[in-house]
Amino acid sequence: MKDVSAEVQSLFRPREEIMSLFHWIIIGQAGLALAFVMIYASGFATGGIAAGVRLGIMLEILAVGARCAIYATQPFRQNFLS
Amino acid sequence: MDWKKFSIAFFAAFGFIFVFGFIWYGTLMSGAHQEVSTLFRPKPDFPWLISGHVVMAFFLTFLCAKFVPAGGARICALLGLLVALVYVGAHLITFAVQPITNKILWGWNVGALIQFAVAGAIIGTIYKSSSPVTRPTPNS
Repeated sequence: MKDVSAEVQSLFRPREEIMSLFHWIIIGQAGLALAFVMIYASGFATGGIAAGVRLGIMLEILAVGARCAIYATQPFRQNFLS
Repeated sequence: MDWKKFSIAFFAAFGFIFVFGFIWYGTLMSGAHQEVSTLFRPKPDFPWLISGHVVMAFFLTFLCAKFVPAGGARICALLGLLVALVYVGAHLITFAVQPITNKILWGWNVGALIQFAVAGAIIGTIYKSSSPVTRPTPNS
């Protein structure tokens, strides 16, 4: 998606700045994984792998909803959504 | 799944999420968003905004119905909080790659926690089973 992002470069930090804030990406990914595991462990664990996959699909669809809201408020192009 | 209760819970959750979003993100955080106005559209694209909220409300309701078929405000609010933590993670990543301010980052995070916890509580209150749930007993 590098080319798609380059079309709206003004919406992103410069590469050097992103690298200086890289720890936030790691913390964000870790928080995301932790929340996912907590949801799975507190209600889906008895369903095994299938329940984990179903939960993952549901959370991703929730994230798609959030991306639609982001697209509605930020001037990204439509190919960024797809 | 009780589809009648599901539908009522979904519409209530959608109403809350949308109104809260308008008040919190669109009004209270409007000044913070103006500080980096080039990052945002002058006016939201409403069809996409509504679609996004419909999807979020529908799948939060679906998650609550699957997660706690017996319903209950407290447990569904907890699920809402956990879902909000997923969004907090995504916001931190956004902060790293987009030039949003600290004020916006923490405003979005606090907003998500309140929004999803209350939406979960609303869903749990409405989607409450009238009959006790039978749980499978171990070794049976």
